Amino acid sequence: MIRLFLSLLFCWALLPAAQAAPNFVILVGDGIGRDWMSCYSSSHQTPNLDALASEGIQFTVAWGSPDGASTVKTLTTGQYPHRHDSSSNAENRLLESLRASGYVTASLYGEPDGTELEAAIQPLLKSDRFCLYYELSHSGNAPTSIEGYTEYVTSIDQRVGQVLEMTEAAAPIVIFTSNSASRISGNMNGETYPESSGVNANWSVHVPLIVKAPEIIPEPRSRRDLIDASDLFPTVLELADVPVPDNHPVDGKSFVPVLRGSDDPFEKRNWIYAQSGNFRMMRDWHHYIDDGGAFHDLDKDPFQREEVSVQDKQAPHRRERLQMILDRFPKAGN
Amino acid sequence: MRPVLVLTGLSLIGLAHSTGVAKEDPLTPFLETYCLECHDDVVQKGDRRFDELTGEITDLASAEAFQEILDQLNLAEMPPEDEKQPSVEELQHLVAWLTDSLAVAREAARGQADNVVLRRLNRTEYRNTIRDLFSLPMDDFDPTATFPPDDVTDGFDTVGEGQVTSDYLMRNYLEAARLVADKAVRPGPEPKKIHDRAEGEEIIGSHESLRPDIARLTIKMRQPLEIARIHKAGVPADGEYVIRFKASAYNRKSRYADEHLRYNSDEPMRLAISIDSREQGPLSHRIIGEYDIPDEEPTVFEHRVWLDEGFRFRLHWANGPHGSFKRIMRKVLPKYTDDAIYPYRNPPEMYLGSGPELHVYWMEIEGPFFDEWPPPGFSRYFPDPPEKPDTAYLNESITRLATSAFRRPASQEELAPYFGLVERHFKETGDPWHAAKIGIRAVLASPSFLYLGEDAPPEGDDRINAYQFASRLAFFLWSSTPDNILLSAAHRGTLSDPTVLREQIDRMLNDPRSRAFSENFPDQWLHLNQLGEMPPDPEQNPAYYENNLEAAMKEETYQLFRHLLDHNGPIQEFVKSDYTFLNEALADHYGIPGVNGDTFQRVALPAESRRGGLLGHGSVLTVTSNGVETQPVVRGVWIMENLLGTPPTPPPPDVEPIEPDTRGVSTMRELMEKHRNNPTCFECHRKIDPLGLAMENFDHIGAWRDRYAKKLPIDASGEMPDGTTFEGAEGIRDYLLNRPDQFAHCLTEKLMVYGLGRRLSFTDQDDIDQIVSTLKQQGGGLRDLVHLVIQSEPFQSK
Repeated sequence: MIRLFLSLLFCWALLPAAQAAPNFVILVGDGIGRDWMSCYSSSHQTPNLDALASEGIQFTVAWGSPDGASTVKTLTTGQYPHRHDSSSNAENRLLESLRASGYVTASLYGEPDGTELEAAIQPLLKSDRFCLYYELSHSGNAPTSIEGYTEYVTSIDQRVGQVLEMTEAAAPIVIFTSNSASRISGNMNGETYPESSGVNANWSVHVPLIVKAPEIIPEPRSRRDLIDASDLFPTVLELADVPVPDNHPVDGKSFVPVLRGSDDPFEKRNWIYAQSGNFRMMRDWHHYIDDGGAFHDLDKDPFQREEVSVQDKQAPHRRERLQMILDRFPKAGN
Repeated sequence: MRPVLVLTGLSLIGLAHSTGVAKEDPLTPFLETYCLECHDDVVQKGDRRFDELTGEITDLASAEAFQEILDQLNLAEMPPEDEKQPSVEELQHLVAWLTDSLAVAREAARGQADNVVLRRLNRTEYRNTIRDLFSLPMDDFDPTATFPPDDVTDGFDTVGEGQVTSDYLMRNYLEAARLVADKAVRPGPEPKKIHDRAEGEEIIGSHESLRPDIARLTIKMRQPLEIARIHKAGVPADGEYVIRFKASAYNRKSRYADEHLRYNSDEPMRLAISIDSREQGPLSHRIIGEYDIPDEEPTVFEHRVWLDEGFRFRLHWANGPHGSFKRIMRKVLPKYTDDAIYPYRNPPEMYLGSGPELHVYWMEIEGPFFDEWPPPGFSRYFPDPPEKPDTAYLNESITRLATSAFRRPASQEELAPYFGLVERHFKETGDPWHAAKIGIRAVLASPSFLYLGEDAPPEGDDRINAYQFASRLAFFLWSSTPDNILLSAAHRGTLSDPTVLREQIDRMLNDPRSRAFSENFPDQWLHLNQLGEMPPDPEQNPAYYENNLEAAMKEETYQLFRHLLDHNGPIQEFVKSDYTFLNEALADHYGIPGVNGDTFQRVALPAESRRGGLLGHGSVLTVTSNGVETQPVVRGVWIMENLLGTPPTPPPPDVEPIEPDTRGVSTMRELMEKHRNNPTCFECHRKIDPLGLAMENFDHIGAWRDRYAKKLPIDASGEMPDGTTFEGAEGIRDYLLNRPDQFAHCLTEKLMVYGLGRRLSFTDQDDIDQIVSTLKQQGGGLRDLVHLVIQSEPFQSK
């Protein structure tokens, strides 16, 4: 009898992980750039995010948009700003789609205290499958000094730690990103990061992205695959095995193949895109182009300080290609 | 007509008085009636003139003319069929008379032969001798690299008469001796081992990679993979090294069509290891191994190889996509995604990971390893090298070396100058090993080493001594120096015992060193060594290069020779056989199905196959073409020279060659009809052209064709001057098989020239006839023929 029971257990353990619907914890920092995270080589210590990165994948090239609210909308709809519908401002199509397939969801904003967190999370843990969506913003006025910002980032890191600890038992897929670059410059590799606010450039839309997904992430831990904000929506739906809603065009491309360790570039992006009003930006692994006529080699010149050398015979070809793809997007946003 | 019969250095003075056959001369009237019309002081067809012949053999030229007239009559080639013909009785009478006259003259000449052939080691022999004297791997060490090319006489580079010795060559001998001495003398402790390893992105030459844990090879010819340190410096010392790597094939079948990538996804990926030396330059580059890499399964491979100091290794993808990576990024990728622009340089990241790739996880090299230390080639002459050798030790060592190098015992008196030299250098430098090297250099620069000297024999005996015979044997069958077993048999005098000799010959033929014979001899006999001199156009004949057909073609011919030699197969199988030796590439070239893999195998040929025998070998068919089209005249001459043994006279110098018809509106046969209009040409070409034209169904790289390129028909029929008609290569084979003695005679002559290292004289003809008839009785095996050649009088005489 006992023997039979044990072998049944064994069979259950062998079931593919994908069959059970995964839980999600989606954490969106408010203005937390890589220049404030020690796992991205900042001097500012973020131990809880570091721990997350060390268990998951850290993406080195992920784009949001210059405007935090716009980024969030792209994250939760999978659509670029030119498709955003101004009439349904509060809509979170991501959570809505998950709920339609039986997920229990919760949204959190600002700086809830421990009790509030507990109250939000407990019901989720009792459910069959859940998705916690948490925008880690500040309550009250945004910090304006270095000291204030330091404190603010530290508190975000602590809240990330708290949430992860509370949800650990449910082994959720954890996704951490930010709605924009830092509002106050931090540093990376010992260098001060350029000012991002109000600037349209690679560095001002370049955001952190960390994904921890037990069972599906093989080595290596750091990837330079191209990801932008529109990719979150299709990725989460694919992981949850939930269909994309009808009549909801998606601009993003699921990066599940990346998580599964695919090497095939045809399953991945070969450019990423960001938009701020009428201003369009695009990059690939090496080059950046935008509507302001900028074109830069980001490997040599990450902060876009100089013209691409005329000696570089490949650059015009790369520029041509990015321009061709950029021109597929309408200029007018909503 | 028979240049192989030309004698130099053979004196026939006095022959006229000793022959005494002039009484009843039937030759002069015969010549007047049937020959002089075309061969007198006015007309000299085929460059032959007989009006001065007196009916007596007075000198060498007349002896040769007699022999030639006899041959032509025997072959029924002369007089031409459209001319007045002698009666059977007339012919029989004259042939008998000529045969007698020649026999008498030959007998008379034999005793007077003073054709001492002083011949030196040719390049191959020098290299092999160094290899065997010092047990040195010679794959990447060629002390003869700068030697002038060997002179070829009567088709062979072993013949002494044509050899030129120049100041330049002498300087090369000295330099080669220095290089060899430096390699051979290795006192002191075993060299330190190295172990160099590169993993993932430490490997140099990988394609820009999104995954730093592996190095990718994406196309065939792109920069190969290297380990940085080894690539810069090479290995630190001569010795055996172990090369290991872990690799797997990735995406062998991908979304890309094979024709877009110029790649064959049906065969397993192959990784090649190549080596080269920076100092020696590109010529030192060669591939030492190739491995099939399993799909998606990282596997460790190990390859052991002897590397000379300064050599380095690389890994390449032997059968990856052809062309450049740039082409794929510009032209292939846009066919598969509209995010790529044609014909621009799209980012490589768009392709990497999607096409076939060969992944290398790590690579390493370890060594040098030695089976024994000091190395055997050193300890053989310098046993148990003491820390501080004295003069006596050095002298003993030089004596040991000289005995091997001179291929005979060397006396102390003879070696005294060498000892003096060594002692002087020892005193001057205080370095015994430097002095030893000087001694070795002196021995290797000595005429006793460089020349196969055969001193004048005692009066009345023209047999060579036992040591000289051992050398002849060794250079004939091994192209190298006799080993200790042979030398000690010579020392004991047992080589004159037919049983011992037979055993020794068989031992030598079974030794791997006999590969020198089974390759060098056919190389020169059949002109295989000229393959590649007029290479086919790579654009028009890509398979010739991609499948390495040239080497495969040679290998087929080598294997046939080796097979007949090993199994004592009948030499007639050179003419016609119902089997051949093929690998997949060559079988495909011949259109023979069912042969797989790179390894050569014996393939039974169907009855209707045209490939059995040398005339169907790609090697022969290609070497008789000029890379663009066939040359029937060259093929005809080749058959006459190498199978029939009746090389035609070279064309008169003032004759223009036939212009090739580049428009392709006339067939080769139509072009060659022009010969018929010119009687001077016609005389020879009526024998040459039918043979060559019958081979026209084989194209310039030996592929079968039913028609010419412009659909013009091929007429492979032919008629020889004696009226024999035949059709195609098969017809020539039957023509040859109907004259078995003629082919046997031809092959025997070729073996004799190669083995004796001298031109044949008409005095050798009796011996050759003897060999041919004995061989016939014994069944005609190639190995028997080799035995007979060695047992023959000329082989054991001056």
